[in-house]
Amino acid sequence: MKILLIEDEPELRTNVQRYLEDEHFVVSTVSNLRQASQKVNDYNYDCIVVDIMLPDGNGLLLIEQLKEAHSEAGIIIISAKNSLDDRIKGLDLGADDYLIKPFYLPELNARIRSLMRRRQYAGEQQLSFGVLTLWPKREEVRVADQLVSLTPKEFALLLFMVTNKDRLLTKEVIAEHVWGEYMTDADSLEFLYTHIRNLRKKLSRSGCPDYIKSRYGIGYVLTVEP
Amino acid sequence: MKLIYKTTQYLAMVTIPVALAGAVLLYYLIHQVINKEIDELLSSELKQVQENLDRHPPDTRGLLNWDHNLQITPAKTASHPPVFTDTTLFDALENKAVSVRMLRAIYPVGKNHYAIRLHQPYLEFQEIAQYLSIGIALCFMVLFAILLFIGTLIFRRVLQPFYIIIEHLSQYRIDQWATITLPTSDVDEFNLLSQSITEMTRQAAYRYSQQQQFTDTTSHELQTPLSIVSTDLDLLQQSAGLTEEDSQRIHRSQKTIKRLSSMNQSLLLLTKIDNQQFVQVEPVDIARLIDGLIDTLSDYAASKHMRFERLDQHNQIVMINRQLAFILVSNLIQNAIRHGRSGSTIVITSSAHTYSISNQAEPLPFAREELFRRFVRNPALAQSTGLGLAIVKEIADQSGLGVDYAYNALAGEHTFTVTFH
Repeated sequence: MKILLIEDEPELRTNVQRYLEDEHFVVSTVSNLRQASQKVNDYNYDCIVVDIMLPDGNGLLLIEQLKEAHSEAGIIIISAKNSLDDRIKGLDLGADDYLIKPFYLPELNARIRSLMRRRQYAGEQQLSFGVLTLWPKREEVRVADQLVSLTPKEFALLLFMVTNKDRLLTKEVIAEHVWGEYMTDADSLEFLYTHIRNLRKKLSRSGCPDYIKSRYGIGYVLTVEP
Repeated sequence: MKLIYKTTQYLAMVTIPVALAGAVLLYYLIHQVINKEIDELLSSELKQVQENLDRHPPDTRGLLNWDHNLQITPAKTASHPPVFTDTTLFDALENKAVSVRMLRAIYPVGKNHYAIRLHQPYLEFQEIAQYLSIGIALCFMVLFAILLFIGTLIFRRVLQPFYIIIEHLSQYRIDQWATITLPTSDVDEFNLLSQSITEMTRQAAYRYSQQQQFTDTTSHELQTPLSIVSTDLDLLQQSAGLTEEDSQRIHRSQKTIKRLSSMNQSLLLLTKIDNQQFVQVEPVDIARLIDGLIDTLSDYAASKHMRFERLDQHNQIVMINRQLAFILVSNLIQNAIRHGRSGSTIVITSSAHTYSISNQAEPLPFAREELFRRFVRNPALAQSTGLGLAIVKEIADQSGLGVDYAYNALAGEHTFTVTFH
């Protein structure tokens, strides 16, 4: 899956590229609007991650260009501006998602995956992890062939962990993904523990090994390793 | 009151007394002139009478029948100068009393003295004086009315650029980029006014956009380095071979970054509210807003075994900026959950003009006056920025709402009340 990352800040560009490449994406990077415009002209991408504030112009211009060329690429805006106007303008122009800096890398990964699913990207319609199989569209999980009944929150939790498998996901990252950005200043993330415990119970009742490992009280890792 | 009516009112206030006083003065003057003329007439008649008396000394019998307006009687007193008086006499012909001017004089002819009384009726002179003065006053008023009417028309026409300027100004919105275009006129003052206003709005719009740009730039300049650190930490956290202590240090740094970032966002929000960058208002259904928020925050509340009790029967539809309304209500509800006692109930009530949210908790750890001030927070909660309620207060102030806090020590209940006007 090919991704074009447009970000003028070199360190941030490298970090995002590194994380996404570890997630088996093919990532091209550019640092300004002119290069980006050239790239999207010459190549096809599945997803374009674009910063709005670029040194030579507004990233929204690129979205206009893509839409004029009837590009099929999914578009995710990353912006330092928490501005409702910009968000609305970007989504109106045809962007698919809007992520505010600073963002968590697992969150960006989950957003890209979710976008690919919505765009019917073949590899994303069905996810497997160990004995687990997930059909995100139907919010369905099976252990071997047995259907596990989960609440929507539990499903979102599991999907996020499968999307970022073998990664340490801190409680804050999980809470923000599942419950939204308003949950981030919650001082107590105890409620997350309850949901994880319920999810674990339901999975193990269906005969699934305990993949969810707690790590130092910081967060959780989904892994097949013991 | 419109400018034109105000002007008319003042003009009328001056004109009517002037017309009345003018009529009285005119009457008096005409009367004076007529008197003078009649007196001259009588004086010359007197001279004639005196000459006649000198030429043809009368016998006593013939004295009475000379003229209707002339009476000559023998007098005993010595002569004295002629005296003019106003009086009334009965006119047998017209069968009514008429006012007359009378001249009395005593005139010696030889040894005899004669009292001469001459009258001249005012006839219609007085009426003429009256009609003339009233007529002139009326003419004056009519003329004034016509002038006023014409004046109004001219006034309207001349002031048209002024009204167009007012119309433009009332429609001007500083947050929209359109510059104001005012009409040019052949009147220097209006051109000057148009120029000044155009210049003023241009400067205000410039300053407004500068402020907006400042918050945008600040946001970018601060959030970008935070993003770099945040992604660095994300990657670092995934490294193999981290000790538990390392992991916890990284986690702590991540939380601090998040806190810095949300503090920055909150400060920028406060600046934006201060700069009135949320000008667009729309009707917002407060009950539905609360429905949505309670739904979003239900897991958070459930984790503290808290529940919501809705007693808000009076629903409010408020004209407010939707984003600000959301932040205001969201901050108050989150505040109630965060500080509420575990297992307690958050009660939401409403009256005709207010909405209240109550939660049970320990008394405030600081003075009550400090509550809405920036960076005043409960030190027990590490992630709190101390800006949530400051933002609530700022939004309320800017949106023309009232926000009050009350504490019931007996029930240990904190209540925030938002008043809509």
